[in-house]
Amino acid sequence: MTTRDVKDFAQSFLGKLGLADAKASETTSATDIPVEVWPNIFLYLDVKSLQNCGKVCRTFRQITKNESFWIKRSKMDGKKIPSQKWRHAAHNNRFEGDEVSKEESESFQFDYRKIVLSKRNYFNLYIPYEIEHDMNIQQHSDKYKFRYNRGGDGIAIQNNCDGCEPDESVTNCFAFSYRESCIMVDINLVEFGIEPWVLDYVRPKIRVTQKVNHRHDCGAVVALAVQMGRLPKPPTNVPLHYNDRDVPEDKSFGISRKEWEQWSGADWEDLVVEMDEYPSRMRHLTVITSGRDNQFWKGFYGPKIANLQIQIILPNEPILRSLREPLECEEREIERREREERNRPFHRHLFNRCICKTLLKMRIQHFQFDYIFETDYENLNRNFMFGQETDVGAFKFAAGLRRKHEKLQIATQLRNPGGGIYSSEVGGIYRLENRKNWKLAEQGKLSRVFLTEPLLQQPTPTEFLRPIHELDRDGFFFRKKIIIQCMIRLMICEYDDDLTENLSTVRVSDNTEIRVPKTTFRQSPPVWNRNILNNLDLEKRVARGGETVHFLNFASEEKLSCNIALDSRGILQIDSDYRSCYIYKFHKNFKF
Amino acid sequence: MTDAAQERSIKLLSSDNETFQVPRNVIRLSNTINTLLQDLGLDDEEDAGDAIPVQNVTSTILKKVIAWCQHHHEDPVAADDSDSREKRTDDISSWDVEFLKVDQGTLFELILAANYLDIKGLLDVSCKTVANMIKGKSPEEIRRTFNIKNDFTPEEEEQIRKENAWCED
Repeated sequence: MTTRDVKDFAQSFLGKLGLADAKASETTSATDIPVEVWPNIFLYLDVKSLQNCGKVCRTFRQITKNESFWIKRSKMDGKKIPSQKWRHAAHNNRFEGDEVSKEESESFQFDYRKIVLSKRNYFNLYIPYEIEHDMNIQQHSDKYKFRYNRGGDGIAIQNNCDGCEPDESVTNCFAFSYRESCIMVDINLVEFGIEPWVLDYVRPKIRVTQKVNHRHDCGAVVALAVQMGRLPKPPTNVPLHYNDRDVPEDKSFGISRKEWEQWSGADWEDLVVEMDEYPSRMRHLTVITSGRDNQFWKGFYGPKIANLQIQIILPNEPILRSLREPLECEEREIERREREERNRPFHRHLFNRCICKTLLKMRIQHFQFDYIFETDYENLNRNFMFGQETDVGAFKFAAGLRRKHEKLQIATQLRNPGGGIYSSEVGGIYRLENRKNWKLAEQGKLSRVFLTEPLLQQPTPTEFLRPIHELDRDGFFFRKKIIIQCMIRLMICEYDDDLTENLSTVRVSDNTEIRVPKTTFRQSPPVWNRNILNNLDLEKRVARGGETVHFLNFASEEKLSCNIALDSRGILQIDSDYRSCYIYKFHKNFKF
Repeated sequence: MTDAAQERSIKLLSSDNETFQVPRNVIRLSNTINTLLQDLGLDDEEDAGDAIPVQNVTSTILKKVIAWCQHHHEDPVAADDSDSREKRTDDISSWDVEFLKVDQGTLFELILAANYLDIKGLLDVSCKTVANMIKGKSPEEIRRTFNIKNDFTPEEEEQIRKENAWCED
């Protein structure tokens, strides 16, 4: 097969460049297929096949790397990519405006492949969630990965004409209650497929639109707030007082409000926030829609919201602008948000980034697991009322284990003392290192479980608790359904056991600190202090002053380390990402 | 276009100098020929005139191409042409499936001819047919199917092994 210059592909591919140019026919035996046919064929391949093609030979590889191939592919996939003007400007480094030097803009390229594969519409309408009638708010939150905060009776799903005028564009909506509820959508703009240089030097307009309405018979108030930030990930927590905040000079924050009187018109209308003059280096976007009724009526008489849309609009002309540093007031606001983020009081809805440990003491047939391991709060007990005074010890958990694709999956079932199932959740999916470990586990000799990142799509508990022979076709060691009663204790990662204070300090993954009311721990193991830590069989004993502990990240097989230390107040600190693997093993004789 | 024009026939000359008579409204499926006829004002002429040389297409392939056009010339024209081509590959009509049951060499020549003559429908189905031959195959299987040599250096192989992040969906 002849190797050709990439330009050749582009030419044959971008189309018929006139008859004169067509000298296509070569010998066409199966061994020598002319290269120009392949891009046309590759357009029809799925991503996986395309990837395989990239591994076949150099020619194929060049095609799968070729810019024009992806541009063509984007059209087929219905992906919107930057306009031709922008593409040309980036390709030839000929941007308009003289604020940015040519040397600087040299590296400004679009990654079309990333755009096409991102499964999102770049520079196009982005719809973060759809409202479906047969799902509740939690299910929406799980499916579309947004966060929410319930106030009053929470958030209901209604059709488009419950107490208001219907609108063609709205099918279902979320309806708020008598205390402020909110829905937060986070977008990491870079992950979203927008190049950092675009965010810094172009700063495209971002338009957020939400349809809002209210019940004719009840007054309501709703606000749409958009907040941009520098951190690579969006804030974990709800920004406090975002509703009252209004610093007009702060262009990294935008808000639009709407208030209705009782008996006022109830037509759907658009609430729009446009982010325009925001500073450079913004990397994420959080959209918060909040609202409540203003008559304090029980039920869902608050505002209704639907059809959230986010548009990122490149200017028509490819103009670069010089970096815009945040103004002093913006800097202050951004810093305040970042700080607020660190000092937020604990809230159970916000706990999903915290580390949570579960001690499982499971007797599974003939062998015993004696582990402590971590999962995140959301995965472990979504319905578990942490903030409330729940007697942890009164609940029993059932755990089911099964093996699938070398993964050990652990389901927990929360049962109330009366025997009925209180809630049923899958507690994270863990993978044992290899088959050998499974053998060891079978013999009861395995002493460590390696954790990997929880799978995004978890099996439902019902799927989980089906008879095991259905699940486990390859005849591994589970021959029958296993539901084991086991003792599970829940602990929030690390906390200060200072009894004089009414608050415990909990350190979470990104080294932020949250304050937790002591009541949370009422029934938890009494202390989580040096004595217990000394029993942890870590590679290095935790010690005052800071030590590094090494772990093996099972998924990537890379070695990770994190700093674990007891600070001077005796607070255990873990400084790493909670999604990495942690292994904690208790000594056999360890007891709470 | 008048009725008379539609009844006209056009002469095509293959690379191995065989002449084919094709009705004007059949060959309209080829954008290349269509544009050529319009540009040269040949549509207005009563007489079919000289044969149009189709240099890159042999008589065997040209015959097949014409047969395809003949079968499809009455198909409704797709509403939107270039922007949203159908990505599915399992929607090839049974006639086309039969039509494309040819050896690989012919299939690729058909793609080339369709590309050259700019016959969108034919290009689509033939490319889809080849895409179906690739789908679900490992790189090694693809090489075997199309008799392609692995020309990567060991270093490149290593690099390929490292980068597979982009396909994660």
